Amino acid sequence: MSYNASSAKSGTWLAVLPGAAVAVIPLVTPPAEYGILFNRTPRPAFVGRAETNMPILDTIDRLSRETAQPDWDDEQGLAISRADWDRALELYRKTCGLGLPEPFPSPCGDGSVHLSWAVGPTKFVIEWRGSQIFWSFFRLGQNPLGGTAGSFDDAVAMLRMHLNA
Amino acid sequence: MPLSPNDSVIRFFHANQYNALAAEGTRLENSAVTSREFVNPSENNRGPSIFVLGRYTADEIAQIAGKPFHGRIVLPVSTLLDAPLNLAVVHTPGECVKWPSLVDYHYSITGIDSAGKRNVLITIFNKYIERPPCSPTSSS
Repeated sequence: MSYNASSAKSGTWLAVLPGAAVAVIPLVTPPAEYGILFNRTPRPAFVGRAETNMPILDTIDRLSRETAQPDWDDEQGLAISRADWDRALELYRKTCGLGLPEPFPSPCGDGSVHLSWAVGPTKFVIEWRGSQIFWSFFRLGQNPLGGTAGSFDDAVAMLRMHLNA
Repeated sequence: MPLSPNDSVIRFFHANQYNALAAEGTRLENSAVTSREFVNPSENNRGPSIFVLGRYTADEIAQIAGKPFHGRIVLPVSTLLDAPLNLAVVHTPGECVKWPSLVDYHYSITGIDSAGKRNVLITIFNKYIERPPCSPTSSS
């Protein structure tokens, strides 16, 4: 069973509006798998909209289900493990405070997961499968750059350097 | 079936591989070319698949291949051959067994043997996106 945002919207949570702010109160204990998205720690009682309205989390959850079986792309694509999708969340958290736009998650038929950040005429991509991590940097009108990274921290350092984040 | 540099070819890509919010020219994602198509080419997968246009239109190929809502890249063969990547375009009917009527028109791009070259190919593809992916309810 995986996280389903719709269940959160259908009565599990109660939204209140103190002035202009939006807060959400859990009426029941969230299911255990909900913790996948938040370091498996209990969800705080009050959460701002910025924390609850995260379409990328829904997208990652949807993609993890769609790519769980081989041939998910009708092109003999390899199944992508939930572990690799969870690492997308791990990487997303590492970049949350950098002032970048939401990354674009994308599955690949070779079983890898890609996360890309588009900023103006540039785009930075981090892709991984298991322990293999590769980064790419695109700027319109220039040759793309790329290389391997030993860890997400190394890849994020390259991201920060190229996108001035 | 010999291919002319003046022939046009089409490649399809899935909606998950297209970021509509990115700048034009960077919207196609790296994931649109899998490493299986360049790191470990095999008899069943010698490189990124393309179909030559001519006998069939892009719409007809999309229908036959079951990709009516996929995005499309259409470019001349010469663009691939002239790229500084040492690419070749070879006829690969054996990779098209699912669609017998397209066997004569299925080719593969060979010579992509690294992620760096893949990135250059993605850059080329980005310049020739003819149509983004569309939903089953939108008109094309």
